[in-house]
Amino acid sequence: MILLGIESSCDDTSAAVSRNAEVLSSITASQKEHDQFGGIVPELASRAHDQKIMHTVRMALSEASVSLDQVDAIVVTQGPGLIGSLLVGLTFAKGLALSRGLPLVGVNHIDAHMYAAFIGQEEIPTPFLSLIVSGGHTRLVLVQKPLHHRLLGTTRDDAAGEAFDKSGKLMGLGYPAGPLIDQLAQKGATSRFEFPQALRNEGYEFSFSGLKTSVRYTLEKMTHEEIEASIPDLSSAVSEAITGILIHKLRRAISETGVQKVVISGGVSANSMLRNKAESLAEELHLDVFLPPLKYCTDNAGMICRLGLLHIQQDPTLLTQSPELSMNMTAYSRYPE
Amino acid sequence: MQTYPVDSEVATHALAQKLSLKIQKGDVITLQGTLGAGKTTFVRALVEALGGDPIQVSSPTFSIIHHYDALVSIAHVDAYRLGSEAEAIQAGIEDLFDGDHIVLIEWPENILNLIPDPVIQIQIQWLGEMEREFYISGLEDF
Repeated sequence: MILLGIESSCDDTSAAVSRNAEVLSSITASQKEHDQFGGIVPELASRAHDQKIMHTVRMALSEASVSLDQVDAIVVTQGPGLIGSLLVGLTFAKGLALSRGLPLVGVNHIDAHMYAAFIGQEEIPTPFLSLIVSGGHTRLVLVQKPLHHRLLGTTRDDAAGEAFDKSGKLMGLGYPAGPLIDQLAQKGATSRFEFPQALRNEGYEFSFSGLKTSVRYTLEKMTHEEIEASIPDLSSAVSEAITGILIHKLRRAISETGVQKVVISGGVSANSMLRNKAESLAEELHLDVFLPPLKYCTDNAGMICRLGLLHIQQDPTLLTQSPELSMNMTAYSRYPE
Repeated sequence: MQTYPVDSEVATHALAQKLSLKIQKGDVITLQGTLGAGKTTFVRALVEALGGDPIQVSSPTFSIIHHYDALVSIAHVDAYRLGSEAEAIQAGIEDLFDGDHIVLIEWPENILNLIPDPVIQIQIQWLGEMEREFYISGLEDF
């Protein structure tokens, strides 16, 4: 089965072509326009998506050596994300589905991150625990079987990626600073500063806003020169606090559910300290840990295809449904709990 | 303008409780203060004081607007990532000023011209790890 996937939930425009579980091509056009504003700017994001989507889809098809006639269905991200950006992808997908008479399958962007680890793999080894960590989301989920998800915990305030970004902003590293903090942390000592790991003794919920306050409090007591000289150590301590609590809650979930397979995905899963901690945990507890390849950690349409395939396998009638029926498919900004 | 010193979670909740009795549907409240000042924390206390489940409240930095169920409908806006008013309009912020919600806006300085008068302004001044000073203006008898 050949699928064309389209993803435009946030700052990247992405298109991919898959054959069964294999992704043949995955093209992402990043919005360089954002850099000068120090973050994702929604209006710019949707306008830039508008300009890039056609080209990105063409490139994905051509790199996969697949023509539109060979495509069996289109899969598109419905949410969560920025409404303006989502609508560009969704509207384009609807137009293409209607004009080519192709079935359209809508999928959840955050759920797609969970299955990114199984690109290229037909079997989904359930049950598994899934930790999804990104700039907008932090979720610990028990996947009993494919598409059967039980939310164990989410964040009460800031997302894990947001905690990296905002701590970096406080340290004067610009916004978003997540990848930069990761680099700097590798040169720093984790032990010189200690930042709090909130809700350590409570369930599966996360809270990262106290970390921000604590970073700020620490910085207020230092001179500008001291801060400059301490950036690697501060980065390391921030990374330790964030990745430490993520792994701590994951360990609790493993112990309480007895599930020995773990998937860690989303943009923050590219963080090297988190990856190292996950590997150590896997060794210690003899776990199977699945991490998507780096190119499928951040937003991409390959994972949209992978989740679309699962939906079609569970409900083959999606393939025979007329495209007119999917015209009232809507975009949503928040995860529908 | 009134000044309220706050040095604990209990004091934050007490202030939110007091404020909740003075506000109603259609009110617009702006919250100013630097990163880590406690804007989202205060919104959570206020949502709880207004009869909503505080668990619903999280940072809207990523998705710009969150909606919460309480005794009145509450919209929680974060303009941190917005660079211009055009972007705010695109995000649907104008639609919130229809009188059906209490609208709470973090980082209002980014979208000042879009916010209708009158507004209740809350400024949170960072003093220390737990200590804050709240400056509240735009409310009579408060």
